Amino acid sequence: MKFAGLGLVVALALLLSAGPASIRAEAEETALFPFVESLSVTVDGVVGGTEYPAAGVFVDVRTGMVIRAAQDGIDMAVALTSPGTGWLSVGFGRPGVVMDGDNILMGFVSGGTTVLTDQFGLGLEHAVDESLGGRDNVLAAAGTESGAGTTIEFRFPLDTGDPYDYRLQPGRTYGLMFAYAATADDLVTMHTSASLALVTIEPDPSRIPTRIASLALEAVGTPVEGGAISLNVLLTGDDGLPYAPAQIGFYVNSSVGLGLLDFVDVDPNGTASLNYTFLTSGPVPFVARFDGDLDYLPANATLTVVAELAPRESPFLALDFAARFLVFTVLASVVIVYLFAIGQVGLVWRLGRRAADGKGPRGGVSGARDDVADRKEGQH
Amino acid sequence: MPKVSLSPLERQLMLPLVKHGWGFWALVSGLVAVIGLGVYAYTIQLEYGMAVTGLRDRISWGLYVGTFVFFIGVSYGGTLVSAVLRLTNAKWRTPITRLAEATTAFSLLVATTMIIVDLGRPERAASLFFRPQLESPLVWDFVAIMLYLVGSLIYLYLPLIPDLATLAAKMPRRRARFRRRIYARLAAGWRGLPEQRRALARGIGAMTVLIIPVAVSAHTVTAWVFGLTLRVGWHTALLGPYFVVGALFSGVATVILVMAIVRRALHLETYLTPVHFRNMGILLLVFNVALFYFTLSEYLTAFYGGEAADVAWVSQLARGPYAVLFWGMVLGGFLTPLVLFVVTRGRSIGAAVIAAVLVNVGMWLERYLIVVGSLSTPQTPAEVPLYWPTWVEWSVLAASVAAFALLLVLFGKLVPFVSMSEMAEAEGIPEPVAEPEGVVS
Repeated sequence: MKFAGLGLVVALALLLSAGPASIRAEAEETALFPFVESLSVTVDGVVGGTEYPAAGVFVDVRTGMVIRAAQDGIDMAVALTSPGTGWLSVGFGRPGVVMDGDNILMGFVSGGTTVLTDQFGLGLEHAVDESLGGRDNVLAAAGTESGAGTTIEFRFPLDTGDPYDYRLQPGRTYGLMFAYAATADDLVTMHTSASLALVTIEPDPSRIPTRIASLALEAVGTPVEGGAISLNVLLTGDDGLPYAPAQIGFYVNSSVGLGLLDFVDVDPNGTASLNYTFLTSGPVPFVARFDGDLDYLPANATLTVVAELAPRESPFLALDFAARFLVFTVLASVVIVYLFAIGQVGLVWRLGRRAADGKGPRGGVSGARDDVADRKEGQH
Repeated sequence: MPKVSLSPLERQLMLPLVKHGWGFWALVSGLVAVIGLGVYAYTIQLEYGMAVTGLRDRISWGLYVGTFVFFIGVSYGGTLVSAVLRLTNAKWRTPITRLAEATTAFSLLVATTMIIVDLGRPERAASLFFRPQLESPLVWDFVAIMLYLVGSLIYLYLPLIPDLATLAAKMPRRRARFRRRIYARLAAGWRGLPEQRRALARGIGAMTVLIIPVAVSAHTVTAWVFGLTLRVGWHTALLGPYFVVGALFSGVATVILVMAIVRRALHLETYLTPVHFRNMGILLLVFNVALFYFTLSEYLTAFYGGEAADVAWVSQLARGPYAVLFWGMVLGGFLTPLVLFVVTRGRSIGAAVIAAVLVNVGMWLERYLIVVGSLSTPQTPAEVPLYWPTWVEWSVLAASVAAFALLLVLFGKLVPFVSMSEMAEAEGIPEPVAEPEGVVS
């Protein structure tokens, strides 16, 4: 699908922009889906004056698209507006990741009919959930179109339970992707403009988490350079029972801070696993983090695994040894030549002494005066 | 009184060794004063740390390292003129070989000093001996430069031996008794015997062949200190040969400059003729074109690829904060010497000297920009401050140049700048083997 070009173009746009766009997005371009007690949005494709909270209005400068949203902790209501008359889309997923694993809602308004599809990002491609074995989880959708642009309103669950949707939890921040086509009312034409931002799902301010979860982290496998281990966590609630659904972030605690490895969903048994391959030997401090939810406070677990050196080939055959041998040979050769040159000076000296002692031919006018002769001259 | 006969050649070349005019003392005083300023600045640096320099954590190599690379490059002049031309039996090299060899040895001495200064904590140089990290190119750079320095000193010393013997025999005794003894010791009993000549020729021959790869390795390993780092502008396979060609360029220019100064100061017009300047100028021209080719290849490859970091690096040099230095290097260091040589057809000594000065300034800028230009290119989104050396660094730089000049000046007061024995050989003056009675008693 030509929409797949979105990923490439977004990546290119990020490269060519003045600075790392993902960092700028974290710092500046974060939308908010505000919490409301009850969703009073009428899904009709027309944005009413008080339909969406003012805090839920976000303008994406790069594309000129506008998103208005509200959510009640269960469903979200969204009005997406583009400056074109063709298709438009919004995607939810991991921050800084272009399309892959995103839940993408893509549609258009044509002849008074609104089409909105529930799609899933596969690398830099995308496909309708149903074609992958998932479900169309759009609860309601309606759109309007005019010369000034296109608006599609829709209602969608924050957590559909569908593996081909991205679960959104209150209190968390996710990647947000915008794209639209200027005129094409289809799902295949290349986008006109695309952009990345972030979105925070506001938690219910009246629900402050107080419960304490426990997180246990273990490594399974032999930690060796070039080998892989499985990092396993078990998340349990304050009742001692496995806690799910939840998401665990796996990190390496480097000298410059936490480096994200991946986010993994906790299964019904409260466990989540991640494979890690050691590129080098030495200690690697891992951190597993549960960011908390409406009931539970965040929890961390740390584990340092020391990877052993991988077995080497026989030292005699190893390139390392050959290189050292070559370097030693070259250096030794240079030193030998130096000694040879200095040795010639020694030979010159011995020949001179023999001549001075009358055992060989005597030197000429340029012959050096030795100290004894010089002292004799001094006595004169 | 003993009778000492001096040939006209010996008389002219030995005269500067015993006659010291006011100009000499003024020059030495001036150079010592500049060195004193540098030493004072260095003591400030030792007392207050590297904070008194413009170096910081982001730009941790600057003027010191750039000057180090520059002096390593200057040392190539001696290797080329002496070793390569000796190997190819180019007869015209005879009057300038010693100048070139001395340039090599003294520039290497100054270069190694610059690294010690750059360390900030000079005692940490001992770590190279006691805790060397063999995987680090810095260790091998140290090894290569030390081998080159030792080799250069041996290579300077061997051809000196016949002249040292002559000086021991013929220096005026009343004024140079101590010096004569030193000369006699260093002359290693040289009497000009055929066996001695053969032994000395074997030693010089071995060093002539070896010093060329040693010199190439020293500058290549210096290039690898940069090139093996994953940094834009440095991480290129071209850097080794690029450094070597640049070194030959600046080395030849320095030898031309030293030739001109010595010729003028010591009135050696008979020996250092316009032919020598023209031939050296041709060498300079060849290396000029070669270096321009390398430079064009380097920057075009980086710019045309369009990688963001490469483009940022080239843009910073071409139209950023270092643009004046960069274009000064290209126009002043590359193009103007080329034009000067072509316009004068290499017949003007004055033009050759101007070209040599411009090349040296240009090559120093080139080294500076290689070091600082790359370090100034951001690798992370954080703001990178511009680097500008402080008075401490400028003072140490001035002292390093003065030290190089002072070493040459003092060397010229100890031995003739032009080899008496090689000149006699070149002019076909026979050197008697047997000592005639009564000539030297």
